[in-house]
Amino acid sequence: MGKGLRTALATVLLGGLLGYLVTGLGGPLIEEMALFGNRESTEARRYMIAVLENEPETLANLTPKGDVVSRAMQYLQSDESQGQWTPLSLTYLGGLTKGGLQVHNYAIELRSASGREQFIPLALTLANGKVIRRE
Amino acid sequence: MSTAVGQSAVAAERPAFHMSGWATFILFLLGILAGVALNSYISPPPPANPYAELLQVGEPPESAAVVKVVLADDARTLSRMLPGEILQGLGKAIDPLEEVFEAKFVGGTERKGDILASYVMTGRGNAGQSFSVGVVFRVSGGKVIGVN
Repeated sequence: MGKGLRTALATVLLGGLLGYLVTGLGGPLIEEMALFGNRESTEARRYMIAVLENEPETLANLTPKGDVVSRAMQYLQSDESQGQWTPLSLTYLGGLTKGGLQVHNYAIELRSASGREQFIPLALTLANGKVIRRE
Repeated sequence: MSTAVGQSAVAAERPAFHMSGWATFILFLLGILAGVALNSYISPPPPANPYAELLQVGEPPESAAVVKVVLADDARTLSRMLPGEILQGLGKAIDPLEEVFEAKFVGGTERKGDILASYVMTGRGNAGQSFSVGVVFRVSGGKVIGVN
């Protein structure tokens, strides 16, 4: 390989590394400083959609692995709530990133099988991409 | 022998490769863009919301007043502001925080006169660690009627 090509490749790689690191490390830092508001997290959105679509597998993937009984309970709850309600809306209220923790708040509208409508808030706390608290 | 010496002399005289400053800069910039693109590919944005979304509203004064009292750590005033059932809900919502240092209104929405005002509260947890929780107040008819 010619010296010229090696130099060009090294320059591109160095730039690539810098771009990757700045985006990877700078993004969360900017979010924590709330310079441009807080961006909704991919995991939080996926979790909320899984709640509304009743997808226990996705919910299990997005929560820390608990004991076998609590996982069984999650499947049971999911089976029991199948077809009990229809989601009408999902609204991201906002959130904050603080010291490795992310908090994301949502409002959901549901219609039960009997036609009764509910308007419920849900607050998620995430650490390392997993939902560690749901209130 | 003289031919070999002549060849090495020619090689030594060959000009060393130098990229111009602009070429280096452009290649570096291209690298940065590729790095940013790679990072975006690895951490994709949230999936599209398949449901309807409600409009955002500002912070209601009723929940702002409650949050102010929580931050002031004024239990007496809080007991006069909220009924027992809602106080219990607030206690559950801020669990495991024992002391709240910071509360930030992050957004709200409204449906048929019911306002959901959401906050992120940060404080000291029961094990002394710093922790953040989401707290959502339900405001209706000029009163806080629920907390999650």
